[in-house]
Amino acid sequence: MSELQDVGYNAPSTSDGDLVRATIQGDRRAFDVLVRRHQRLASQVAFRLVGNSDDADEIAQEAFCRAFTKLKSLTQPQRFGGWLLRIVSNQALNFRRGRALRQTFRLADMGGSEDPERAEVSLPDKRAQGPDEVLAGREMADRIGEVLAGLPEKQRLSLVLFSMEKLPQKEIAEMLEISVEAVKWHVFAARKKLKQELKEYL
Amino acid sequence: MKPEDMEFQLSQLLDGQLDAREAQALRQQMAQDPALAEQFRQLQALEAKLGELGGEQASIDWELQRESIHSKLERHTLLAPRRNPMIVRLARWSAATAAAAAVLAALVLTLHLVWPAGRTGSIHVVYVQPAAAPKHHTLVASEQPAETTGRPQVRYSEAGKVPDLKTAHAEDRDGNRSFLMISGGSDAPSAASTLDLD
Repeated sequence: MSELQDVGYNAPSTSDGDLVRATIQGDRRAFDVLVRRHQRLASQVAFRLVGNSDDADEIAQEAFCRAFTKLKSLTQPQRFGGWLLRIVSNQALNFRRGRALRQTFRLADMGGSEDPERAEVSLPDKRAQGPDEVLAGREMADRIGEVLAGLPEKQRLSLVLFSMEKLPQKEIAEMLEISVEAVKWHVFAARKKLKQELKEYL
Repeated sequence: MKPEDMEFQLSQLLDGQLDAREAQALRQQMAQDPALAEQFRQLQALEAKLGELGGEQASIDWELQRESIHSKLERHTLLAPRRNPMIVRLARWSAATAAAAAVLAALVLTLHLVWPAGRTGSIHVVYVQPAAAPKHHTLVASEQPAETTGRPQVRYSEAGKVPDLKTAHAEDRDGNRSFLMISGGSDAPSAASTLDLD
C-alpha cells in the first residue's frame, strides 16, 4: 500500500465501515487506524468498569484482538465503535468476575495464615479504612464499579458514556444502535439503581 | 403522575432536557415537597460523583498499547493454522457429502424399521362409520385385525356412553399396521376411504 493510501486511511472522512472492509480483505494497516481511532474510548470505558489503568489497558488490548478475529461476524461494519465497546464491556465484566473469584480464593488461603502482612496486602479490609474522606470516596468509586457491573449492558454503557465520558446522547444512541429516547431511559434507570445502592454515600 | 415518571422528570431536569416551563413547574413542586427535593439532591450528588470519576483518565501509553495489540495480532496470525483454499473447499465438500450420506442412511434405516422387509403394499387409512352402539355402551377397541380395506369389527363395553372415538390401530392379515380412524360423531364419513402412501 502506498503512503498516500495510508494517509487516506487516517483521514477522518474514511469511515469505520471502509476500514473494517479493508481489514477483512487483509489490510492490517486499516485495522491499525481503527485501533488508533477507538483505543482511548475503549480503554476509558474499561477503566470505568475495572477501576485501574493496567487492567483497563489489558482489557482494551484483548477486546481489539477479539474484535479482529470476529470482524467478519460484524454485520454492519459502520457500527464498529459500538460493537467494540460492547466487547470491552463484556471483557471488563468477565475480568471483574475473575478478580472476585481470585479474591475469594485468596481469602480462603488466608484462612489459616498467621502472616498479617500478607493478609493486609492481599485483601485490604474496606471497613477498617475509617471515615477518611479520600478512602470513603475510593470506597464509593469501588461500589459504583460494582453496581455498574450488575447493570444490563445498555444501561451500563449509556450511563458510562453519558455521565462519565460526557458523550452526547445522539452519539451514544448511534453507537448502541438505539434511539435517543432509549438512551435517556437507560441513563435514568441506571441512575435510579445506583441511587438505591449508594444511598449511604449520597 | 406516577412516582417513576416523576423520577424520570427529575433525571431530565438534571440533564437540562426539560423546557423552561416544565423545569419551572418541577422546581415549584420540589419547593413544596421536601422528599422530592431530596431525591433531586441525591441525583445531583450521584451525578457529581460520576462526573468526578469521569474526570479521572486511565494512565495508558497509547503508542505502547497499539504496539502490544499489533504484536498480539501478529502472534495470532503466525500461530493460526494456514489453510490452503483448495483444502478448505475440499473439506467443505466432504462435510456436505457426509451430511447428505448420513441423512440418506437415517432415512433408509427408518424406512427399514417402520416398513418391514418384503413389504410392498400400502398403508391404508380407513374411515368407518361405526355401527350404532347400544345405548350406554362404550366403544373400546378394534376386536380383531381389520382388513386394510374392509370394515373393522368393533365391540362395545357394557358400561359408559358411546365415546367420540377418533383413532385406533389395527393390523391386516400380514401383520402390517394400518391406521384406523373411527368416529362416533355424527359428522363421521360413512364411506371407507384408502390413502396410499407409496
